[in-house]
Parts: sequence; C-alpha cells; structure tokens
Amino acid sequence: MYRYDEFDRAFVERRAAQFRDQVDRRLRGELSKDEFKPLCLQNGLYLQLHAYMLRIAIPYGVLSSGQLRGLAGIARDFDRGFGHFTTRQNIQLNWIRLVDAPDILDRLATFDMHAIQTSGNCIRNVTCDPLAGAAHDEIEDPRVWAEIIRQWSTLHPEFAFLPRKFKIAISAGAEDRAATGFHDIGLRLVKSRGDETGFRILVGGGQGRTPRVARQLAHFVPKRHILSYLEAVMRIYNAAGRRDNIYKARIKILVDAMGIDAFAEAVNTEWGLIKDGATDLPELEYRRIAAHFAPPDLAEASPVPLALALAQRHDAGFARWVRQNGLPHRLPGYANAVISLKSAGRPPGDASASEMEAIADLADDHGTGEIRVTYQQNVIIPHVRRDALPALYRDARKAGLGGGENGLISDIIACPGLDYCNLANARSLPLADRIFQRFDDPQRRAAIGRLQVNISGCINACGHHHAADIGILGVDKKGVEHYQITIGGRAGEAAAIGRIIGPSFAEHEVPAVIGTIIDTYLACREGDESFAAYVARSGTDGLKAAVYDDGVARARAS
Amino acid sequence: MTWFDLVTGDLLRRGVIGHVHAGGASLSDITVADITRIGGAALAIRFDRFSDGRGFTAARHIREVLVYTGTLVAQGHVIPDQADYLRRCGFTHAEISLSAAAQWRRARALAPPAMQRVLDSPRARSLIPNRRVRSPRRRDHQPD
Repeated sequence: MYRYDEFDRAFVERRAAQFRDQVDRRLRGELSKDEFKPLCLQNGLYLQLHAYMLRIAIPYGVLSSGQLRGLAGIARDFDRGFGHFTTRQNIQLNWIRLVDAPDILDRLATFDMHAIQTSGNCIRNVTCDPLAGAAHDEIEDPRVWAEIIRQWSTLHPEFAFLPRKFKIAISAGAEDRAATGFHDIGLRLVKSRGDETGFRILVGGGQGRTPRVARQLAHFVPKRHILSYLEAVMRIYNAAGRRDNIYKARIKILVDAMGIDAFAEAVNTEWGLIKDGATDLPELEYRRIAAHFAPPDLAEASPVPLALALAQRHDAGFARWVRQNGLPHRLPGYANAVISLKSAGRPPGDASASEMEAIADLADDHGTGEIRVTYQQNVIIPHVRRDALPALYRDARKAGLGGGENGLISDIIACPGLDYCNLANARSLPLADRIFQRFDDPQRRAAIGRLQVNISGCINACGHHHAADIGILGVDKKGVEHYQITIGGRAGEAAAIGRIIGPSFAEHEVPAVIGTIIDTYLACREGDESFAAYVARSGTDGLKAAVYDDGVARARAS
Repeated sequence: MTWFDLVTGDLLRRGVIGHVHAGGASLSDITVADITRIGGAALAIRFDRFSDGRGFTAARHIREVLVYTGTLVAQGHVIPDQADYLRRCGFTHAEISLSAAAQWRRARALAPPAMQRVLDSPRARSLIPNRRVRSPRRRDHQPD
C-alpha cells in the first residue's frame, strides 16, 4: 500500500497546523461562522444533531493494521469508544468536540492519515474496489490510479470551492464493486481493442432527491491522460454548474441540462487545450506511485487444503461463513475474508475500539497486515491463505465478528439517520436492527440468497436506498416517521434506480412488509433465481399486490 | 484597501485596474481584446462570495488560454485562507484591507505545499510573473 514519504508527511502536518490556526481564529471571532464552515468541512468536521462528526479519510478504503489501531485509539480517547464505517469507505466519529479536532488531526498525521476533503463542496475521498490488487477479475490494480487521483485532487487550488460535493469511484474488475454508476464520475479500467489500458468514463451518477445512473462520457481515455481529462471535466463543472440552488448543483443536473453530447463536447474542447500540458503525471512519478502497490509476496498454497475441507465438514456455521464471506482471490490458494459489521444490536458499519484492534490482529495474524473497507460498510482482510480460514474464523468469532452475512438480507446498508443527523426525517438504525432480527436465522438467510436492503433516513439518500434490491426511505408523514419502499435498485453492473411500490408504512409495519416481499419472491422464483433476477423477469406488480392487497392485512396482524 | 502580493507577502499601493471580470460571468465574456486594451494596467477578477469558486477557473483561463501575463488581482470577498489557492491559479495580488494584512501573511505561510503542478503546463510555465521555472518533478514544488 501507499506509504508516505517526507513530502506527504510534511503535507499532513502542515495541514493540521493550518487547521489549528483556523479553529483558534474562529474561537477568537476573527473568522465568521460562514467563512469557517467550508474550512471546517474540508477538514472533515461536520456539525450534526448533537455534536461535531469527524469523517476521517481512508483513501480508497485501504488501511494498515497499525492505522486501524491508531483509529481505535482516537475513538477511545476523543469519542465514545467506537467508529462508524461509511459507504464511501471512510470512518466517522460521531461525538467530537471542536476544540479537540486539531489534536485529532495531529494524531492522525502521526500514522499517515488525515480528514482532508471528506466533507464540503470539493472532490471527496476517491473510492475503489475493496478487492483491488487481490481480485480474481481485474485488469490492473486500480489503487495506483486512486492514489494518483487522490494526490491530484488534494487541495487542488482551482477546485476547492465547487458548486457542490464531487465523488469519484474507480473499478478495474469485470464486476463493478465500487458502485461507479452512482458517482459524479465513475472510472472503469478497460482494455482497448489494441490492448491498451485506459478508462471508460461515466458522469452524472448520484442519488439524493434526483437519482441518476451515470452516463458514458468517454468510451476510452488512455490512462496517461486521465488527470488532464478529469481536470477538463472539473473545469466545465466549476464554471457552469448551478450555484443558485443547492439541490440542483451536482454535476448530474448540469449534464441533464446541457445534454450528455453537448457536455462531452465542452469537455473535449477543454481537454484539447490542456491534454499535452503538465497536468498528467510524468512517467517517473507514475512509477514511483505504482511501486507502492507491488503485489505482496505470497507463497504458493493449495486451493483445497485438507484443514479447510475438514473444518467445513464439521462446522456448518464455518461452512456457511466461507461460502458467504470467503471471496475469491487472484491466487487459487488464497481468499479475501469479509469481516461483517452487521449483527443484532449493532448499527450497520459500527465497530468498537476493541473490535478495531481485533480486526487489526486478524489482519496481522492471518493476512498481510492490510484491511479494506467496503461500500457495504464491512471490512475485508485480503490475502488470506485458504488453509488459514478456519483459524481466522475462530479468532473473529472470539471477537464477536464471526457473522456470515456478506451479501445476504441482513447485510444492511444504513445511514446514521435521525439518531445523529439533523437532515433526517426518520431513524434508520433501529429499523435496520428490527429487520436484522426478523431474519436472524442463518438457514433462512441462506435460502433467500443475495439481496441488498438499504435504509436512508431522508431523501439525501446517504443509505443508498435507490441502489438496493429493497430500498427503504424515511419520510415525514404529518410529523410521524414513515418509510417508503423501493424495489429493483442495483449498485454494481447494470446499475439501476429502485422504483417506489406505493404508500409508505409506519416503522413497526416495515419488517412484516419486507417479510411479505420475501415470501412472495420465494414462492414465485424460478429455480435458484436471485431476487434481482426475479424482479427483472416478473416486474414489481406481484410484489405490490402482495404488499398492498392482502399483504398489509397480514403485515398489520403480525 | 491595499494590494497584498501573494508571492512575496508584501503590501502595495493600489494600482490602476484596466478591466474587471466578474468571477461569476461566463468565460467567453473576457477576450484577448479586453486584455490588449488595458495596456499596462492590472486586470481584476471580482468574487461576490468567497465560496463561489468560479473566479479560480476564470484566473486559470485568463492565464493559460488567453495568455495574460500582467498583474491579476482578486477583488471582493476573498479570505486569507485562500491566499495560496489564489496564487497557484495565477493571481498575483489580493485586494484586502490594511488591517487584514497580518492574517494574510500568516495564512500564506501556513498553507501546505502543493500536491499538484497546476500551472506548470509548458504553455503557462514561462508566462506567470514572479514564478521561477520548475523542473517537471512534483517533489520540488516549494512552499514559498
């Protein structure tokens, strides 16, 4: 993974010192509240319902075990002993005092981390396939490009005051595990017909109150030109994006207004002016960065070790865990192990300080000391020998982290909701727990199969309800928390926006409604067809009828 | 009001401004003819709000596309914490009140070093006043 050199280290130290000065000036009244706000946001601090939230950047979701221990220490010393992993592969601390923030940034800098540009109207943390460099289906390691784009976008002088936030995701796998279709810019590494590697560029994806699946902006941009191309896109957006209405300020609205063809033409004209300038990295600098991502030295290992086969035979729980949480690795003797942060009573994505330390130990003991944070708010230990999986599972269970929910109905994505957020209409976390508990039977979960349930507490859609098989959106119905259900959304390949199935429900009704949807699906599916495939084949009318005709009666009775 | 030199941190008496471009105006509103007409006078870009970043793109456009080489002043609502961003987008000066000078100096000194080489395009490199030509490596980008 990328290691800081003296330049990078000096950079984060200076940035922390700069922020300390800004906080002092704010406390002395020399900076107005208005002027302080964007400076604060661009250092990761965001005023929520009860306290400041600090969103710490985990560049493209990659952490070392040492860094995770460092984060655990911060959670313990400055917060209430836990942190919350987000859909954009970052971690949030929800109970921060403003006066502590400069000390926290100083502490982060000691282990090469920061909170720069995790909020505010700027280019946010670049997200990436969590299996980068370990995936069985990737063209090349996208982390190299994620790091190059991170450096380019960090404190970019021209793009620190954009019309609105700007999110970039990169994926290099045959399967899109970074939800590139729901980002302002989605980058897919692809091969040209001449076998050259480059990027297919998507633009204008996003959720919120105007959900859009990103459209193709360019089918192939050679990788050496990616920074100048991105700079051209950003320049068009910065100059022409709307600033009069916060809800119409994202690039998706600009692309809608101009039309994708006119937008592409404007980008190409701009790109023509800067393409052969010095924005793109010289080869030497590219090689310096790429060298950090050389594959780890992994000894040859058996794809079907006896220890694994025996453990699978004798322990049904372990067998299920391997099936769900043991993801394929580019080497057949290895796996990438998902550590689920979903369990009864746990807000999705939450980890206590001691759990973070336990995860760091798992990575040191059974992997290569590296941890990845996923879009689904779980973590992954990459590069685990398959014969080490039983020991990893045993240790994970000991730490209370042995859940095998990856990809199943209980692997719920949720925003913090009204428990923390002043934008929310409704709570997300208690509902996530109710749904988890309703399906808290491993065999039933396995029978249902792959199914994504996402919950957002308001239309800003931080819980990505638009992109779920079953999406749940908190709405305010005459002062009472209600929830609208959408069906048929998808984040990865063939990204799609879920459709609302009808009027909303009270909180206590929702688990039964989900139950009705699941029962209907199980009764109507063909063979072992997934929920997504079932919806694609038969539409949502059957589900709607089940929920609103006889289902509501049943739901209300239960 | 006085001019704060973004490169040296010196203060300067306000000079003559030949043309003001509104930060929020379209880039096509300013042309090479506007630049030629002002002769030796300065060009200014006006910020209505510090959080409206269009002025930064306007500056780079004026420097790199229109190849303006003279004094470029940031006018209106700009804050000390933007000093280094302004300089790196091609502004030479910010118009500030005298009482704010110390804070501008301080903010300029506290700015972290640059991660990218924004104005180092071959076209722009030799055109920016008060900037020395740099070798193409990122690492030598100095905090001034």
